[in-house]
Amino acid sequence: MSKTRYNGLISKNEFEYIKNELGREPSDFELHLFSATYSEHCSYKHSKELLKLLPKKEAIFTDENAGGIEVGEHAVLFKMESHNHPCAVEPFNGAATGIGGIVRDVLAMNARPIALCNSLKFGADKRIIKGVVDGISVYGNSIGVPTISTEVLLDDCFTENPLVNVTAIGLAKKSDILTSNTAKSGLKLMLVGSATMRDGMGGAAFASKELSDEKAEDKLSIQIANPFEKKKLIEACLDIFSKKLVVSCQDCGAAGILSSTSEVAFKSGCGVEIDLNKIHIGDKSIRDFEIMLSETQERMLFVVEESKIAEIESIIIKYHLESSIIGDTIGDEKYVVKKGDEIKADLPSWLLVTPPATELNFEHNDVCLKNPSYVKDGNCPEIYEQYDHTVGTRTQYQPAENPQFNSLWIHEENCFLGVYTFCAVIQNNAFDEVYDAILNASKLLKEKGFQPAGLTNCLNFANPEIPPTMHEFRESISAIKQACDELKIPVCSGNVSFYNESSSSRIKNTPTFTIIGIKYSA
Amino acid sequence: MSKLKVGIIVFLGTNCEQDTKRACDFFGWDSEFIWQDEKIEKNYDLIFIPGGFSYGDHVSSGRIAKLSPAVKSLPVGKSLIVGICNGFQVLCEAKLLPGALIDNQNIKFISKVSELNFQNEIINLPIAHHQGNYTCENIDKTQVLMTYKNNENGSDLSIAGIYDKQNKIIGMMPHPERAIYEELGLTDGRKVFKFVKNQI
Repeated sequence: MSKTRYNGLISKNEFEYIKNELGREPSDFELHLFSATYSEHCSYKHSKELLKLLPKKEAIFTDENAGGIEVGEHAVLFKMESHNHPCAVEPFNGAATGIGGIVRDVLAMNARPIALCNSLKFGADKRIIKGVVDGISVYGNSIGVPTISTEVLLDDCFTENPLVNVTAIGLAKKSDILTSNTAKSGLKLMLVGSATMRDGMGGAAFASKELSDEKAEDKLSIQIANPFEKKKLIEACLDIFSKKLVVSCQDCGAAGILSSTSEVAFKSGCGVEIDLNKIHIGDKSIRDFEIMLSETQERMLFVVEESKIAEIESIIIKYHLESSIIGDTIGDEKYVVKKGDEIKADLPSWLLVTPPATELNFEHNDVCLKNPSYVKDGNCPEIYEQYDHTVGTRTQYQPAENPQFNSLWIHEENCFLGVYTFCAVIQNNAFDEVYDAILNASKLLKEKGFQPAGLTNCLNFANPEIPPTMHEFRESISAIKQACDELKIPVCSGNVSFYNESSSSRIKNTPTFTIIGIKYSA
Repeated sequence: MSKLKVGIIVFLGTNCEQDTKRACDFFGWDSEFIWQDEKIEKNYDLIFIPGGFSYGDHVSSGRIAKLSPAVKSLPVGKSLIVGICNGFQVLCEAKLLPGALIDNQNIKFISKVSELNFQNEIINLPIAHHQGNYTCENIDKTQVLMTYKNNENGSDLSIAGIYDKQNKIIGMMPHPERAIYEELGLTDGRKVFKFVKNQI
């Protein structure tokens, strides 16, 4: 076997580390698994340690798919996520599946998605602007979730690398919340939703590199959006969860079946054993490792008791969906994949989700590529008028007043949530610019009568291996920490997107936020 | 007087059923959902076909919903039938109302608060649709229920809502169920609900 068979999958250092921990060389199949779970997108290897500095104490479920805040008997769960790389290549599906993905994060916790926000950074490419806005409009409107807060900025640095950040806000009864850390051995793994296809192959790894000029090839990495399947999945999940038929749940996002099953196993402290032959497949030409890594949309992983399967299946059929029992949870903390009797992977669960430490370069390089070009507000009415902002009958304001701000009526608790989406495009001083942006947002909420309660962020940065990216990243984290400490609000959830650059341009690093405040009715 | 009995049809892809039910609750009406695959056998005073994207708008909006057991068993003439947004599209597809709803003139989704002429006054209701451009040859003007003041989507005669000839079937693109509560600043939907009740 070639000594460099890991090339293009993982680094030499990572290969040696795995070999050392396993006491053997990983198989090709296993290498593909590591290539996804060790990607920046899944492992957060350049950001994990710094993110630990963010204040989270006052928030709930910060280790889950979406964190949140308590509002009486309810929890407001929310999270922001990026879909920058897919939108650069295929704007419509990139943006649409960005909405699909973030909605699954709150849905997995048994929260009904009640609102979406979007923060968009574009350059001059009108094809990208149109595609992204169409994608958000078609998907969000079809699943019946209002898009209530829209921020648009135009700057040349985003022409090749647009930023498409979306926030989903979900509402759940606190007592009904489902988490991904409650699996135990002896349960069944159930995959619900679309049949697994080859779309979105290697998406996690794709989002972890600079955009090359070979965009045609990258198109293979794009997930295909299907809002109708998602709408069915939302209603089926909430129906099934309301009957308390599921022990634990995780959505299938980046690195699909692999990351959902490995996360449940790792967080719950158990193992899993999956049989590739049991998974419902929509494309018979799919290769074994592709089944594990595929990012086919509109799928969820349930961990269930065997006795509940028949009742769950009857609900799945009602909503015209498919499902399959793909494996078991086991006592050993192992990650085992079989194909019939053939063992394809047999790994310690922790190893799959714990890459070796990454060296970080905090060098501050004054000679950066930034142009002193200006940033201005984008052309908004043409955008937000394509978003259904009133479905759900919770939205208080018309976007024309201030597209970035809105208020959501939580009639269940007789209160309103003030929601504001904003960003800091770092031009000169990362700390000051990020700190000021958060304080200004908080001031805006307070002026409108809302008490700031928490925020979610999406940290869009360039290549972390090239200065001054990590320097500005660390400064941004410090600024978020200081601002949130002063305001006494937690960072409830978040997402990091590195490598927002192409061979000819890189973005100005841009942390994006949605802040939420509460106002109780008089 | 006994409570109004209301059925709300739910298809795969419907997304305004909760809002419609909440509005019925607001008026103290007794409402329940009717699943797409059920044959309608109960006696309802009023049946809503709510907004959304039934069957994902596959083929064409309303095209597949009209084939569902619920729509095929609609008690036409017995219950008042009201289609809102996608429900209006379903009723036109099923030929229970004249005309058709095609792509908005600007070929984009339009979401805004629209000014409407309704019962000799101007009311404000949210609109949210991609195919709300009403087209009909020789519409009888007495069947026009509601018109857009600014004809946002390019409809013939600015039509936003119509009746059938017997006044037992109503279709409209605007969303009165989203304009009920003072807390959200829009309450003109109440006028439409009261009108609907008086048609029973």
